[in-house]
Amino acid sequence: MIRRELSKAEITAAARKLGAELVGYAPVSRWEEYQNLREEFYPHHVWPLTKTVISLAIPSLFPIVETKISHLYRSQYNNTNSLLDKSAYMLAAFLNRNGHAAIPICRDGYGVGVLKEKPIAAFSHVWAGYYAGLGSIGWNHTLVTRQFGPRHRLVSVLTALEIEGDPMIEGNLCNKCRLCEKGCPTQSFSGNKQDKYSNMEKAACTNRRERFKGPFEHCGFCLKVCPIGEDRKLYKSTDISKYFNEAKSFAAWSSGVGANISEWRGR
Amino acid sequence: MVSVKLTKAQIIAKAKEFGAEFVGFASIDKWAKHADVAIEFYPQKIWSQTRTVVILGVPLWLSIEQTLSLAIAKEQERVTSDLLDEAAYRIALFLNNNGYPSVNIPCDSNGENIADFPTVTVFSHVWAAHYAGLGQNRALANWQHGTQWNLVSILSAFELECDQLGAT
Repeated sequence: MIRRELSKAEITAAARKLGAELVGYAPVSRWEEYQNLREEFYPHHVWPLTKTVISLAIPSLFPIVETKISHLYRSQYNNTNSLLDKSAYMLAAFLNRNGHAAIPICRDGYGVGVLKEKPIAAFSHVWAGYYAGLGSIGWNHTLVTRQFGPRHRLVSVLTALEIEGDPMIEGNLCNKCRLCEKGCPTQSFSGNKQDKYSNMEKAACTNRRERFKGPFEHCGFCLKVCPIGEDRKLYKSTDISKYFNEAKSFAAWSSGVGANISEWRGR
Repeated sequence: MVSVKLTKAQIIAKAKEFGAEFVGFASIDKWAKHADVAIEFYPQKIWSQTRTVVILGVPLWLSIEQTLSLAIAKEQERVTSDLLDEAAYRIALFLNNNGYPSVNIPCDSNGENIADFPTVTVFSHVWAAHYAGLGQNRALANWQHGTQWNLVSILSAFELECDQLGAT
């Protein structure tokens, strides 16, 4: 294995060529400095060689997010997950090939059923993205970015290469309008405005998803109502009130009455 | 968001870099002119900013009739769909990043057995490809007649000049 020095710009260019739209770097010291997570979820506890976490994001394209709930969104969700995992794997291979140990952490991999049993992930891409300067933590527990608000998917590459961290977002991109809380069909979010982010009843969100397997399992109201993100301007969609009319019928969908189904019996 | 004037040739080159073998362009007026599909399935009804549909295709060399194993044909379908979905998504991002709002419609835009559910949007890649010239002699010049294609579409605010219509 030949060890070749790689600049941050070279790694970013490689990641972008592989499909990543946002690329950020977080030294592991940030997990210790901010202590938002338990120690066992620090990246260097997940993999001891880790010195830097590279956070990659790709957007969920807004017109399809707006169709939620739909098979189109489900299809986009699967396609973006596939591209993300491939990009992270190939970026790790690029680093390894150049003599810098690296591993990808896939975008999830626990499955909804497991999440219900134990509602915590082995590694948080959201916190990694926050420490890597891609965005700030939103009321709805997503990473809110300047470019796409919360409408994106994340993945991380852990590497033994020491890379200078990107500046973290100052302040909070989430303005705590709490439209996500108002629009949530399962009332999963609650809390006081002085809280950094909401209390989230994960079981309520997960139970709904588990009930509606297939094209209706991805709800995502908390993503599409978020007013933050340059993608809204690009796609000329700034009227948020329309979602709340949908929400009324969505409540019926959630109960199964509106859709005239009690459960999804497809694949 | 940067706004860069893109040419059809640049979009074709990028799509081929992502794996497309056929790249076609269909102006939205084709749907109204030919009236082959119901109005609610016109691309501008699905997404109002649409001015042009960009269609990507890859050939299916092993048709189900030609292969002894259904599993191989199904695998070919899966591999080509994955390739096309990724290529279409990345072309949409490429257009977005150059100032032309765009959104890809995945290969499987209706899903199995869900056509009865009214909230599901359906878009026909086949008609889009037809309007973009796939099936005409020029588009098939390098391919054996009767080659089957797997297709995907990108709805884009990109407007083609009149002399740019046609397929490659």
